[in-house]
Amino acid sequence: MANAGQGALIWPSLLLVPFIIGFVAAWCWRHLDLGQGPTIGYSSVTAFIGLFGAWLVFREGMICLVIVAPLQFLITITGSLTARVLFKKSGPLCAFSLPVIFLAGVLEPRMAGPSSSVVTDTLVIHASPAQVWPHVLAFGPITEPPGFWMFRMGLPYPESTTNTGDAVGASRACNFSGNAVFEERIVEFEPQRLLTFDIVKAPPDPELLGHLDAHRGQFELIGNPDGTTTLIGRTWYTLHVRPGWYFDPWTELIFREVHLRVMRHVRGLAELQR
Amino acid sequence: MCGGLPNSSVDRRLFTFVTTRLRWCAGIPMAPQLFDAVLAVWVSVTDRSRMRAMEQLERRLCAMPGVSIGIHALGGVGFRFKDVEFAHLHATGLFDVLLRPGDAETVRRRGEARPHHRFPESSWVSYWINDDRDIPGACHLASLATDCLAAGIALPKSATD
Repeated sequence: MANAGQGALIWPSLLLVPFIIGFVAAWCWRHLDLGQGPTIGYSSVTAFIGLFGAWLVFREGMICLVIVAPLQFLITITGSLTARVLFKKSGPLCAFSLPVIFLAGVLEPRMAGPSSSVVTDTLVIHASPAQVWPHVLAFGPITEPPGFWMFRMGLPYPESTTNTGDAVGASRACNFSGNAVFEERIVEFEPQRLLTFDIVKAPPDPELLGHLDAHRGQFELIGNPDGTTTLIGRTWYTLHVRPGWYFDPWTELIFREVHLRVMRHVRGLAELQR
Repeated sequence: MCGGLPNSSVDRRLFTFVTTRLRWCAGIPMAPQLFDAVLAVWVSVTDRSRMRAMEQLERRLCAMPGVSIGIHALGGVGFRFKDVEFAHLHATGLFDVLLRPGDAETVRRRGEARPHHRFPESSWVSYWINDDRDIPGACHLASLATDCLAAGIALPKSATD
């Protein structure tokens, strides 16, 4: 997949592709006179084959396949059930529908490019910003086992963060499980208040490749009148898969769990110091 | 009443909720078809006798002279007689049939069908397929419509006619 701004070919959304798969499958089955039940069954098998093929041939990550599976199954079935009825009629309607579907597959990606957004999470820490700040800059291994089901399934989760300096331009490394490392560079540094870093290199993980780019992370500390600190974590990202209304919530969920794992660890370290 | 009664299954309650409270979703392209597909998957898993009855009804109606099937705009399968849609079958087993006003009143009075689930005053009537015992009743309603159309009698054009 490529960026729309580069004028390269973009795959249709994961709404249109399974629909076309189901549509074409129903065309192949048109002489079998299938009812709704068998169509649903065969379409489910078709969808499963598609997911298996994505894993085997395209090396798609397991988490990605789990996320996309409900959409894949339902939209493939919808395409098959729709086309099943369409292809029971003979005549120009059938002949007309196939070019329309093809054109939709070509034109649709040109109408919607990648979507960018930011995930923000907030945590109150019972410690001052001065006590929280050192642990935001860097922290040792998070030994607590992951609770989030996707982390337990194999999605990389944060383990530690290291840095080479405390100033703009310094490098950071956020180490995830499975030896996945996000290399970062500090772009904003206001002690005890704001740390912003660009993600300059992401690990070559199949769960990310071609699907999602995380660009920037940020920790903001706000000192509260009662001596506590509000820690705000943000991640800016671009999603290359569509439809956004389906994948954005999943993406937010994953970044949220990453944020909270780190922020809870920082909270634990800071509050222990008091 | 010998058949065609609704039950309170999950899919039918969901269908009622969506068609009464979320009717605006029908304007989203392919949304009705997607919703119908979801319901069809649910019914095929949880109530296979109902799904089999629906398939059998579809086959029986398609075997009637002049009847063809197509996509119903609000989800489900539409049945047409010479390009006039006279009935449609939703994935919940809800079978809506368009009759002459007189026939509609008669079948409602006899209990052979119920008033349409959305337009009870119209010439549309509703009949629920639960299992294969409901097929004869559904076919009877369909033949009332096709007999009119075959005789050149026009059916009301919209639910408000």
